[in-house]
Amino acid sequence: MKTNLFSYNSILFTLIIILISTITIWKLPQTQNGYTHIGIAVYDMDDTFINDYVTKLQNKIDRSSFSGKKVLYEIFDAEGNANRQEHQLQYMYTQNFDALLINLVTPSSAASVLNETANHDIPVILFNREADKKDLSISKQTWYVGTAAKKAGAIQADMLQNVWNTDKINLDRNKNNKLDYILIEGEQTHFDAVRRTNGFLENSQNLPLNQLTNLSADWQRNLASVKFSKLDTSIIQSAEAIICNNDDMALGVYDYYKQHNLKLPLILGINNSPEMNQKIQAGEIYGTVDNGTSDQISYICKLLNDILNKDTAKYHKIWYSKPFAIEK
Amino acid sequence: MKNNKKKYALVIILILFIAFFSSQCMMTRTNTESKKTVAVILPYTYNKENSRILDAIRDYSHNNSIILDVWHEKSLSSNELSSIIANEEQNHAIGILLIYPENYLTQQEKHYDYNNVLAITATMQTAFSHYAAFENSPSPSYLLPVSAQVIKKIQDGKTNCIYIKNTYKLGYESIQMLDTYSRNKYMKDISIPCHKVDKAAIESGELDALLTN
Amino acid sequence: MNNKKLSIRVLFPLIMSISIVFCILSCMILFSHYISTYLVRKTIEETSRQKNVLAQNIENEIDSINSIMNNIYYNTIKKYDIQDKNFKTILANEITSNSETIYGLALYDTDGKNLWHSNNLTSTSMQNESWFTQAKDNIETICYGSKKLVYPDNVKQVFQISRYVEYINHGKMKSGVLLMQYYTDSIDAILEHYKNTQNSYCYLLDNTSNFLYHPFIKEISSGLYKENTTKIALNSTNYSIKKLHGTKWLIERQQIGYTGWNIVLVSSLFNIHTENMGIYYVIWLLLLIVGIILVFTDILLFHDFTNPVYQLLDTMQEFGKGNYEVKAAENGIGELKTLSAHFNIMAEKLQNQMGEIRRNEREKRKMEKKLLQSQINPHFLYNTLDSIIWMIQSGEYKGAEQMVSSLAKFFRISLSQGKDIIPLEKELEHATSYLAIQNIRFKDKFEFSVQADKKLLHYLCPKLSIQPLLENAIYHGMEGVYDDGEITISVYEKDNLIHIDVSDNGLGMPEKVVEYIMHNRVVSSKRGSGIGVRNVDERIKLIYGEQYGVTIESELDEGTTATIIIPKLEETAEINSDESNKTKL
Repeated sequence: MKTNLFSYNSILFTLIIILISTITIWKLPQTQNGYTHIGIAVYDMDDTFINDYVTKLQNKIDRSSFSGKKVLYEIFDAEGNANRQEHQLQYMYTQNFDALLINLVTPSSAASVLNETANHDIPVILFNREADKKDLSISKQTWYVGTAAKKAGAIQADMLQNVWNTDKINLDRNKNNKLDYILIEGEQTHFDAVRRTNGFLENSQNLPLNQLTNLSADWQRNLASVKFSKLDTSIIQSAEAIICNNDDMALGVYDYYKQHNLKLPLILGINNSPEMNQKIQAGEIYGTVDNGTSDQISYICKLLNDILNKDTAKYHKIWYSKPFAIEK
Repeated sequence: MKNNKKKYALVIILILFIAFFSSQCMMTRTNTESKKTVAVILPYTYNKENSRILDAIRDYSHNNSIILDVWHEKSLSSNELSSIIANEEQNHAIGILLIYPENYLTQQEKHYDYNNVLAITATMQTAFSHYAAFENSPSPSYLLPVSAQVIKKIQDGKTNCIYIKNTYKLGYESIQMLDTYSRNKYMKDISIPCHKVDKAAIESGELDALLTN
Repeated sequence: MNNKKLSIRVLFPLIMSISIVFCILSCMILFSHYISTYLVRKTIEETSRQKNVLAQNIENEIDSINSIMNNIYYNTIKKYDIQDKNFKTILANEITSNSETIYGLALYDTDGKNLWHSNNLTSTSMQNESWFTQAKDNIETICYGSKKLVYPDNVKQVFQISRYVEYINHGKMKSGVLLMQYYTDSIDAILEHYKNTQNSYCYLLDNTSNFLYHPFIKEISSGLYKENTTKIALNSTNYSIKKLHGTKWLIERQQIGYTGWNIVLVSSLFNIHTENMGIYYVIWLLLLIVGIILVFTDILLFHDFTNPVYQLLDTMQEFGKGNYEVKAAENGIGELKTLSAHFNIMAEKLQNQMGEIRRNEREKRKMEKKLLQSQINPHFLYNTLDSIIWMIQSGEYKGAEQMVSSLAKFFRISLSQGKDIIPLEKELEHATSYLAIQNIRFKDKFEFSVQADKKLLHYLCPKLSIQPLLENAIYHGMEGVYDDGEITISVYEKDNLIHIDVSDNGLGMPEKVVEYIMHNRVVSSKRGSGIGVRNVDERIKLIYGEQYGVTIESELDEGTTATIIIPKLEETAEINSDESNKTKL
């Protein structure tokens, strides 16, 4: 009888030990990575605006503190290739990123990307290449940060109006009392291209504008130069102003004029890239619009911090920075 | 007798509890795969030359459940480097990959003696215990990705042949070496030969995948 | 005790447990097998579905490429003369409006000479290109050729798609080949969306088994990866499961319509195993617990059932050791309870019987003791010795001598060396010795005679049987008689039995006295042997059986006859040895 009791007690004891160890193993959290990871997917680092943007972003992230933890970020350059970005995004979904900053190559197919991030429960901040509002509403944890593109276009119109009002003599070369201009648009389906153009046209109702031609140069300097050169020389010669949706294309046109040693017309861009700024200060290019990228970047860092602290209730889904004119 | 029955009932209840909790444990454990960590230290500004190296590292990590801790550094002294390495080791990193440390290390004459560090470098091979680099090649040599103009020149016959350094392979083998190091504790230097590309090579289509952007 | 190893308490639960374990194990194995086949089947279904979707998407894309090609053909090339200015402008527009997807277009005549080309292409002759010869040979269909590297500003790849066309040159309709170089991006996008991982990926083969798309193409080109499944895929019809590098892989293939391309999906089945390890574990655990509980329960139940049996066993052992008072506890289920009850009944009955046997034995002992005792009755001895002394003192030496020798004979036969059954001859001698002594003592009060059948003398007879009857006859029969008393002993055979009559011619006894003598321990006189008639009767009955014994017939004033009836029993060695063992007690 004694041996029976002993063995029963020992069995009971071992079972209780096993139960406790099982519960602890179950509740035991797995080893966590001590750093915060952020992925920055960019549509093309060759775009000087984006390149600049990313550098500013890097600086700001390094200077900010995100609730005590160090933030490690990875930069993904899609080189303008949607398939490449898709490949990079698939990598990002499985890498346990705490948040993603995505600059989509094809904003029109944002839905599939946002569905994936919603499935993996990753907060996403889209920037610069805007997706449709309906797509943004797929997940609560999606925001867009960009520029008030229409306002930028309107500012361009304002600047032009200013010159027309003050320096009409020099501006109207062919003295036909009309402002002959060429419009260089960005990527055709890009929201910003549409809005900038729209903003410019709407705000220039008071100007006697005459659009000689327009072309789309995909935000690219080279392409703008090439396409511009394919234009009829008469058009080129009679152009009094070149209104470009962004600085790179404006610089492309500038390149063409410089190459052919022609007199520069009034060139307007948008972005305030360093090179553009330099040329504006040198007086060769008239002006550009600063999109408030610094504001955007501060806003993104603030939003990131609140995302990491899970305190994002007060943010609107879409936020635009305020653009302002840059002239000499 | 009743006492006996109570004892047996207690044992059975305990067994049921153990079964329940252990199966819960198994369910949650199998759903989350365990991931390894590798630290990568890059130069601060984005450089397209490193893009293929990073592509390869990411492809390998994606397939082998590795998480990357990517550091962007403007300048690192030897102390700062060792503190980063120490932090990463605390973070359970299986190894550290330095990509072109000549761009950010301030003390380049020193010898960095770390067993778990692999440096992808062009000029600092001797400074590290283990390095990964390309073999010396005759010029003209290009890193991947090669621009369209260069290929056009070969195709047009203006350039006879070029040598390309397969940065994809460099990155892939480097992180593969760190992964096997974590298992075997054995790391050796990587030296990748350059690939000769002439008109025939382009037309054969073998290198298409590497050349496309 | 020596059957402990085969104890039913161990054997039975052991067999039950082994069979339970066997059942559970086979259940486990069946379950695992079923689940793994089920999971594999599910994976095959899932992959088939994905394969169909991918194939459908690619076919849709091919469709749209075909319609672009046909559009260009039917709306431009067939309509306009190639010398016409419209021809070039429309085609140029076509290219610019589709610059995202079309890299270049070119028109060749049947000799391969270039008639027109878009900006990106050159005017080299393409006679030997495979897409050229294919298009020429298949005039109805659009041919999808191999990939080619192109480098406008980025290095990209295009499909070379060609078809046979009829163009108009100077009003004449001629045959030619139209080449379209179409970027691979759209097809790549479809395949990229599959989410390729190392354990589950898809790739596209053209009709010469070259990779049109492979998720690890960069690794393959760098020599870091080798795709082993191409041959297997092309040899299988729908799907096949092959073991590569130690794990099983599912390889599914589907041919894409119109182009002869093949899409191959590869999935690792090992992953399914590990991902679903949770299910396996739960089922094994469940079965294990069920098994343990069953084994536990059957051991418990069996112990419960067999406990009463073992208690009974113990009780029986105790009983066997000689502890006859023990009773089995009557608990247990059903038949086990009745078993104990019946055992108790049997034990009681046994006890009773043993009690009876003990009683009988005691009786026998008593009687034998008495017999023993009576063999040396002191009173008779004293009296006879007195008589002898008296006779010697009186000078009746002859009479004394006879008395002494008769006494010696009397006591010798009384003892008979411890035997209880002696030959009839000896018993008669004993009787006559007694009679002789009594005769002398009673001064010829009576006469006696013995008439015995000589043939019967060698048969056996219990000793001290005749003498008590003689005692009776002398002390009761000769009471009223003075000198004409007669006592006769006759031994004769009747009905194959030996009859020994002791008759006297005395007063006789009434019926009641006969009864009284037969049934009570009447000792006629202390002067005799002290054994009563009843004793003789009982002894005879004990030795021979109930049907033998002593009977008394008496007629008042006539006389009394006591008859001993015994069977004919011959002397054998065994009888007397048993007897001598008994009296040794």
